Amino acid sequence: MKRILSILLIAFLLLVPVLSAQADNGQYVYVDEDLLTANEVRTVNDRAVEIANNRGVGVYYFYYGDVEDLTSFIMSFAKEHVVEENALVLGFSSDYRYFLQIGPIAEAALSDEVCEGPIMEAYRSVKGDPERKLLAYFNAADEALEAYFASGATVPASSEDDWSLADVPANIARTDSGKPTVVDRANLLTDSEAESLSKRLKEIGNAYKCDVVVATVPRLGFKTAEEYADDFFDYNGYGYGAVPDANGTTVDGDGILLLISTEARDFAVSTSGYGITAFTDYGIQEYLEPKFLSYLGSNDYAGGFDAYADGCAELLKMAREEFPYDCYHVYAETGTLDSVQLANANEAAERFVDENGVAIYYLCFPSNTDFGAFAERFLAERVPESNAFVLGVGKDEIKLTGKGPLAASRFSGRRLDKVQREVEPLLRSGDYYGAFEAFTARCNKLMHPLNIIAVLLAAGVGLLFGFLPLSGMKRQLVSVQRRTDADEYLVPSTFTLTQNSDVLLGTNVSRSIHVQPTSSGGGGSRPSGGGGFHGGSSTHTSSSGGTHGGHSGKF
Amino acid sequence: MAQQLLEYRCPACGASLQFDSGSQQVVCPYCDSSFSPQDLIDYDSFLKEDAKNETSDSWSKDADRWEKDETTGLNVYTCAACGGEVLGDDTLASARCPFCDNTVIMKRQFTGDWKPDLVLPFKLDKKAAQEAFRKHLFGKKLLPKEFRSESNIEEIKGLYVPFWLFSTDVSASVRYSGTKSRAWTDGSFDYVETSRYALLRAADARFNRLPVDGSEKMDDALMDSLEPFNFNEAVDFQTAYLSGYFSDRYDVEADISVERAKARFRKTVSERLSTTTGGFASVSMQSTALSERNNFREYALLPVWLLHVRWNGKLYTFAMNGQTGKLVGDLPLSKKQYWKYWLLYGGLGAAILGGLVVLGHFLGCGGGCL
Repeated sequence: MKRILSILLIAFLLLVPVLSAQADNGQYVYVDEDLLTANEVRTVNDRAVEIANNRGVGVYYFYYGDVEDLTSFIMSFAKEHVVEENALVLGFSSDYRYFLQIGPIAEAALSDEVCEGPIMEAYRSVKGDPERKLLAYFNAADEALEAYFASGATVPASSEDDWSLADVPANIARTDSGKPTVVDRANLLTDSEAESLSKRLKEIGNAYKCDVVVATVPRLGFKTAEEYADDFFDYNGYGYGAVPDANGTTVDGDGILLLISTEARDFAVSTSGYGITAFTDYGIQEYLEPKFLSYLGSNDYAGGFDAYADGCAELLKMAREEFPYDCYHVYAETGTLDSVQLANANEAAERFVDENGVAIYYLCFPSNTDFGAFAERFLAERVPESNAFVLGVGKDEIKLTGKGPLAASRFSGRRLDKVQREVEPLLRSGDYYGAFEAFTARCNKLMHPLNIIAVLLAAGVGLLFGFLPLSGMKRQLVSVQRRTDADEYLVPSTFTLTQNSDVLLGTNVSRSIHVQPTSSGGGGSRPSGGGGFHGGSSTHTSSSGGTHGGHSGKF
Repeated sequence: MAQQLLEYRCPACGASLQFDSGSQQVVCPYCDSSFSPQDLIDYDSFLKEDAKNETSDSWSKDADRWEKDETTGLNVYTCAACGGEVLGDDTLASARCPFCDNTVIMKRQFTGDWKPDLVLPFKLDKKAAQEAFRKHLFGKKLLPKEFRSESNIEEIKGLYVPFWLFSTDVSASVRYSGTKSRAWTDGSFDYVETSRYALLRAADARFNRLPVDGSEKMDDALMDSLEPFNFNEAVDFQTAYLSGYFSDRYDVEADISVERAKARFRKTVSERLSTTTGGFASVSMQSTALSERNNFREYALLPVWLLHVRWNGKLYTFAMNGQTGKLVGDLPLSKKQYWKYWLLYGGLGAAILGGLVVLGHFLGCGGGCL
């Protein structure tokens, strides 16, 4: 018996590499284990291999009962498993079915009509036996491909040409380097809308030396919106002052691109070069996106793109004339605060917002002669919080101002004079960081006035403490008390224990769900200012090797 | 045993038990303990036996009666106001009632009764009592100031107070129920194991000459507070010691007084026993049984100075141990003084705590300190 078992075990171990080799190479059929036996999978797969060899088109099939989001799963499936340039994937989850065509031949030969028509009919016509059902699918796909090639159709141009901008109408305005500023492949705009938008974008781009582009496409293929936007930007050579490199692609031009894909309502903002500097993460997500997303959400594309143009113009203006829009609370001209002080000050300001619900801003520009106007503009455009205290330093000028009802009630009158008196000598002596610290401390006090109720409460407790010595004094007056024990009449050493027994009566065990103690983790995480923003722009590298910033999502 | 299980209480938690026909066990619906019926009957009979076994030897002893000639010169004085009776020689004929301070006292010839076994002679005189009273008022902050200056000692009387002295060998057994608990976790559940125990503790102890006031007129608490007396200085009774002092005769029988003594024995023994029940998470006493053997009681006259002080129309009674000089008696409380001191200490506390909050604020912890 033992011997038989060990023989079986050895046989099984020998089979394992064979099975895994099968799985790695030329696999077109992926199903949950209980649907088909390994032999059946091999038979069906052989048919798919045959099609791939004969037609040059991969035909894939998968059935995963537990997949929840089939649309996104099929995209990642295609990325992982599809090796051909042209392919058809039929994916099943327990309640959905999805056809994905990849490449021009597949799109032409195995269009949605073909898939939903003859292929699905063939698939449905076989009842019961899953092996025969799958073979019917592969046979139908093979027939459709045969019919396509028999009709003498040529292989369409390769996907490289997807990026061609030759089809863009002539009335669309071009960037400085001659690229159209609006590419409306999804036909979301009327001709006149597209024309006026393109002119607007061109003006902005030229004024601030940074291309501002809008592109719309019906679908993304199996790229993400971010990848598509980056590639669209790079392969078409967008970017103000882009220089062609050795490979003929252009990288590192300055620009920003808004891409819309209507199929799954994706959008992506891709920035490059100076665009990364001017459009910070905070600027894109907190300033630009809120401006246009609501329009896109209600399908007002012309309005959305106008708002996008406005936002880009405003952000570029800020970046070129002063500094990029960001979540920082402390801005200082060079020579006033060093980088460590700047980081510390920003951190302190963020902490202040978290703790007090009021933002503090520090504008340190001691050589700015027109500081007053700058500060007014800053307060109006760059302070998103509804309550803020601002310490501004210009040339021979200290400006203490505030925004919102809290500032009106607490940051005014004699209190301001006090802050001024404290900050002024420090600024005069050139201690710009010290001045900020004093300002923060003062604001902290403004937010925490002396709590009269707490003082009264403490005093009340103190009054109660007064009763403690009194009870002792009261006891002094009482000396008459009934005795209840006989301790001093017990003759010493006559107390002897004669019996001492403990009898166990019973034991019961109670059980309750164990609650894991929650770790306090050093006081818990503190939400950082600006909703997770830490300033600056995060970047990634596109397929062409270009560096991009930006953000993507759904609308 | 044909004994019926009518109603039994759970030895572990005290709830009513129920018979579970399935397991043939008696189970407690509250604490899940289960017992065999026989164990329960045994346990119950233990408790009953304990109570039955409580025995007490007789306290009485052969009567010592007054000899005929001993009583010559002793009179019984009866107060017309309160009915109190005291013994005394002829020198006390014009005295006031030591209990109610009434002046009208009637004298009659003494008749036979129990004769005291012991007497503890006075060691301290009237002057010492006055001095002790003065000291008693010293350092009492809440005593009305006027009490010191205006109160006057109306009468100081030396009085032999009748006491019963009880000596005995006590055997006590006490039953407790106790619990021990142990807690642990296996990661998904927390477990608490509770074990219930029946504890039995028994001990012998000897008590010697516990005094119990045998005079109805004297306040028990006041007399208790005079303790302790040093009985080594007690001498056999002689009428000669009574000369110049009042002497009360007992009017609470020894059989009644002994109950107070027994309660005090019981408390001391059970307190000693409960110190041996360490190691349990909770212990509660279930029953105590006390037996006395070698009982012995003596009739003693103990020396007490009684001081009657009148202040603000009220009579305050103080008593001093005529042997040790310990003076007791509750003093009146001055409301004025009370609130004055409260204002002082409370004001101080308020200033300190309030000040701390203000200080904390200015040192920069922003009012969140408290």
